[in-house]
Amino acid sequence: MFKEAVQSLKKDLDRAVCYWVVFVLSSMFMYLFFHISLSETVGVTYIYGKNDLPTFLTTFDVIVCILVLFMANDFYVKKKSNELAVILMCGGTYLQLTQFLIFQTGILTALSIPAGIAAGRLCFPVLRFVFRYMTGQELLMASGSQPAILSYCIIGFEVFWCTFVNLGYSYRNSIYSLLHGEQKIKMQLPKFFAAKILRYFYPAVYFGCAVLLYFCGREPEKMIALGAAGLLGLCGTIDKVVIPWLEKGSMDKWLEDGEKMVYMGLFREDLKMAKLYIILFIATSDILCCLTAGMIHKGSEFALCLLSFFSIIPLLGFSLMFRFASETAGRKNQFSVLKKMGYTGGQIKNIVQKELLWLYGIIMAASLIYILNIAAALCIHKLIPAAAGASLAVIFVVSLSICGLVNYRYNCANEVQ
Amino acid sequence: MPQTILETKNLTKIYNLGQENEFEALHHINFTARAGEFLCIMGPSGSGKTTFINNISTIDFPTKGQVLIDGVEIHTMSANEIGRFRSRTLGFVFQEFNLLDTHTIYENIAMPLALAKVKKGEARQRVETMARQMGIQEILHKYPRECSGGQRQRGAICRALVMNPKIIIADEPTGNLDRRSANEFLELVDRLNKEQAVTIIMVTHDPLIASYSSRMVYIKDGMIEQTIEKGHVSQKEYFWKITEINASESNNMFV
Repeated sequence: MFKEAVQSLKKDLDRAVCYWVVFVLSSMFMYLFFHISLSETVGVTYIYGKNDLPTFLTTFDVIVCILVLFMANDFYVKKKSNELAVILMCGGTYLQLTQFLIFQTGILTALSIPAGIAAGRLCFPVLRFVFRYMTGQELLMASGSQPAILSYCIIGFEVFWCTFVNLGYSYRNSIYSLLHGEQKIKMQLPKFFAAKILRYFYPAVYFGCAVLLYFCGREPEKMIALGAAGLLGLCGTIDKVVIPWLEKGSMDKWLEDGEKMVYMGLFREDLKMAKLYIILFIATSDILCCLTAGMIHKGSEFALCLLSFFSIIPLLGFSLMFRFASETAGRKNQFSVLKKMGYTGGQIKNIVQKELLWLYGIIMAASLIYILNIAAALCIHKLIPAAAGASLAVIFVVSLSICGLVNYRYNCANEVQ
Repeated sequence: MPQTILETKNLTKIYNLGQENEFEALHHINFTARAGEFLCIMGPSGSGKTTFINNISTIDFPTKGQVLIDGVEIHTMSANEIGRFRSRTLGFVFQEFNLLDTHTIYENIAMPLALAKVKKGEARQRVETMARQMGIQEILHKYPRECSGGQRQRGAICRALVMNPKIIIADEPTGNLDRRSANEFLELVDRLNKEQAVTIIMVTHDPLIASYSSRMVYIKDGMIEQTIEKGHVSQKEYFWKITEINASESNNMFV
């Protein structure tokens, strides 16, 4: 099984590399957060049960890292369903399937955690510089191996747990469904709710909550609740308004535009995949901004909040980028179908470009509506400085732009091949 | 005498040229297809049938020799010209459907029309007419993953025919269809060939399907080994001739 697992890794190298990079980044950030929260400057919080901001913040950051890892693992294992089906057809047992997946994820984990910790250590000087610049204080990093051990334990436990959960999913499915992809079960609301009114209700909730943020600027807890309600509105808006609009467009408006018909169709599928990421972007920004509120006079806590934002948002961006790159790794066949239909290489490049512009544009717009409004509401009530608010938006736009650019280069390379 | 629509001169295809695993799949093939012909390509597995139709339909390019379509050598065509040519002249049907999974069946069929900027009213009408003809009007809003193999193949056929192409290139188009759907497809293609003089070039392993053609080209080991014209014989007699050629391959095994 070990040999099979290594062969499978080699065969699916693109996806394995993507998964590995997500691992490296997550372990790097986790290691850094533990280092900061266990440092003397910020204060050791876990041991003495001091449930103050650094405790919440580190816990939150670690949870986001765990979520990112879970999504990557879920995606990686589910894409292996064809191979799992073949092993099952050959009479493979549950134990053999477990070995097959555990060896693969184990190898990637073993290669990524040391790399992540090494990358984290390389970031120390930058982190110290940023901390000194923001607070005027010297950041004393935690000594000893505790942060590394904590990172190892959490990641190791999570990887094995995720793999088992996802393996369970694969094993419960029949060989037929493993070979033919997962069947999505759609939740149908009763007819009373599925009325036209929902098309107006969801956008109203999404935009309404963004406006209401200004009235709750003094109470960050309420802002978190509003952010959660806004996310519900956003999900409904995507499902009930945006997707139907895209479906209607390709049946009518874009019937005379060969390129638009293709890229809007691709974007529609991307959007279904990206919905979870938009939710994470908004939820993370909402919670971090609200935690930052009121910390303006506590230098180290304030810096820690901003550093969390500056690391978690790019991590989510990278995770989205790798997910998108993995999803589109099999696009070569689609491009060749388009070429057979008469699309030229130039037109396909245009399609890739426009698809990415729409995808990243919508992610940015949907998330920025909340990030900017939360930051503005907090600024108005003098809970965070304007520069901090602006830097939140800038870091978000810059990291997503870089991810979009990488995806574009990768997809174009796919097309050229 | 109908005009020559497609011609190959000394068509040679070599894979991995200059490498250790160099392989010559097609050897100096000279071939002519006339407008309105229904041509069938047969031959054992690995004989080079798919390579041959890929090369004559601009999907792939020959290593040596020439492919002339309407008298124009494909190597002299620009990428845009080839794109336009594929879109307006060729219709592809493959065994593997080749539908875009990210788009509905409706969008897949409408795509060539959108590329050719056909007015939306007309495009809508053509998609619906074609879908009705193939009996898939009920699944137009579904994604390929939600359809059966037969339905997907019908969708792919609709997409190939919706532009009213001058040449239809089909590689084992009925391979994934049940007998009834296969017959319907053949009748449609036969009608297009007889009524609208569409040139059909179809690869198949099935002698019954091949018996609908007007000429059968038998490829073996990268060369055209035999060609038989239907001429004035009945479809039944033609079918037996085709069967004989195919069976001779197996008969040789018993010698």
